Amino acid sequence: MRHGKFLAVPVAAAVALCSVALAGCSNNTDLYYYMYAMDTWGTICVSGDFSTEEKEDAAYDFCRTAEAEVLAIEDSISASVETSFVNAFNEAEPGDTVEIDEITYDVLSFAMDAYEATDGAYNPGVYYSADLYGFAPRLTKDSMPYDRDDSLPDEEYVNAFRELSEAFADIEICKKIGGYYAVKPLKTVEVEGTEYSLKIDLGGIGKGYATKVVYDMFGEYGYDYGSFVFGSSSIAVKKCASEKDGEWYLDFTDPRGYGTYLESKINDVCLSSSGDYEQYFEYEGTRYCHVIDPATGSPVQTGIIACTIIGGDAALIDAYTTAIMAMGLESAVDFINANLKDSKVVFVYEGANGYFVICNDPVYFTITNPAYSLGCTVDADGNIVLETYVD
Amino acid sequence: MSIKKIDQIKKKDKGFKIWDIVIYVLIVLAVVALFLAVFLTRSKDALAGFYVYYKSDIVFDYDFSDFEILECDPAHVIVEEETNTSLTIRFFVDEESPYEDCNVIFVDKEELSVDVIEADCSSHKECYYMDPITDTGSAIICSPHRMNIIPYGYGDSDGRLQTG
Repeated sequence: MRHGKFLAVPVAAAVALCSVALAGCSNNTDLYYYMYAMDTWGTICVSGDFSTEEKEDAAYDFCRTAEAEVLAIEDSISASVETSFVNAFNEAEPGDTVEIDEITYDVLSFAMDAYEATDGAYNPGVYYSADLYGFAPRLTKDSMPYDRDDSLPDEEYVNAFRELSEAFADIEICKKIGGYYAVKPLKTVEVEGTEYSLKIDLGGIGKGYATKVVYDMFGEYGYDYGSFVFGSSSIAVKKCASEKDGEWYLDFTDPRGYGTYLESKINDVCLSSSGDYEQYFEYEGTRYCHVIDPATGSPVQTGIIACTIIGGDAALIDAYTTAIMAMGLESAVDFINANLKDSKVVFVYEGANGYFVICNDPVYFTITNPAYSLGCTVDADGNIVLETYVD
Repeated sequence: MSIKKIDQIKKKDKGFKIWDIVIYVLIVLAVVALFLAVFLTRSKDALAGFYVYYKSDIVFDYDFSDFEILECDPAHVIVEEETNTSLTIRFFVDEESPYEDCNVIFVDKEELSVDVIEADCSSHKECYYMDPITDTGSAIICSPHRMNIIPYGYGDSDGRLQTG
């Protein structure tokens, strides 16, 4: 050949490039499975080699089993399921001992732990407060004495239900041979001649609990790549098959726009988010969202409009994101510094001077929206230190 | 022939002809094209059809291959208008109030796309502001109405998730 030696160079390069290109082709595919539970959609993505019917069937079996677990949790703890144990508790008389199942006992235990750890900032006893503002699940379309059309709730009801929610601390749960039980507190309040006893809503921790169950199942079934997205507020990820480093890109929904405001990368972790932008109404220029501040009995007005926690027990962090929104700026920073150093935490504070991103690892998060600015530093001990311009 | 002359002839023969260069360039281009095709081609396919879900139930099923409505649950969906180029349907939560708690969905038969063009779900109306669905890689969700529009073959996160 005329240019034998010279031709060898591009041919060798061509072979090398083709090898690299073809090495990227594998039998790995993504399998998606959709479910509807706890009033929202969940998506399981399992990545792997599903080139045989047997492997594909095994993956679908995993997904169906995960769905069954999530639905079982819903059947146990959802306040909007008539036959749930939580509903049985809610309908019981004060002082009654209600039989519950292991799932309800577990979730209630987590809820009580979160209540203690947040000093009541997370409180599932705010069912009536949420219903007062139109945010609680109702089993029937029956109207309540406090329903109104286009005005804010009566202060008398707000205060009464706030006081009633404190009775959550008095719930007793126990495990005996043959079963699990919850004792309904004796506390009641009376407004306009109607007596109300404690009702609870475990929605603020239930999705996190279910997400943790599915995350554990990925490991039990041997799937190292995939994700479970539950209503976008609770997410569990294993490794990402389509990224070389195995990490997922995580975008954070802009709480005041229609895009995103923040980005980070995650891998093999659970996370939870809360915000005031999914369920809310506005009245005379003020936003009233579904997250209730137990201290006031009304929707949160602390300035914290969104919060995400990455890492940690999925059930607890689900409760903590809600609690952080109710705590207020400085208390939230103190809480995060004292309890969440092992997690990555970020929240958005709407101050007089703009929207501030407060987080315990500014290197981990990247702000992608110019409407938001970083409002803190982190000291050598990993503590968030607020900037002076954040108000 | 002397050794000197043979050496001179060999050196002359090693000159590049135009076709040599053309072939080398074609080889390089072919390899680059293969590389790019494997790594950069989006795995999302054009829209072949879509489902409208209410909670976990399919209430509407539309196939673009024949432009055919395969399923339409009158308890949640009515067809408002259909032409050669478009289809407009109304999704509602309660069949007794089809003009409350509803979303109007527009299907462009030429563009093969689906979009929510009206909604009374909330102040935020996220479903209304979401981009039209044009491939298998995106969906439109209306959480307050428990409605979800999902394309056939949906599912390609591209390694990207969103929370909040």
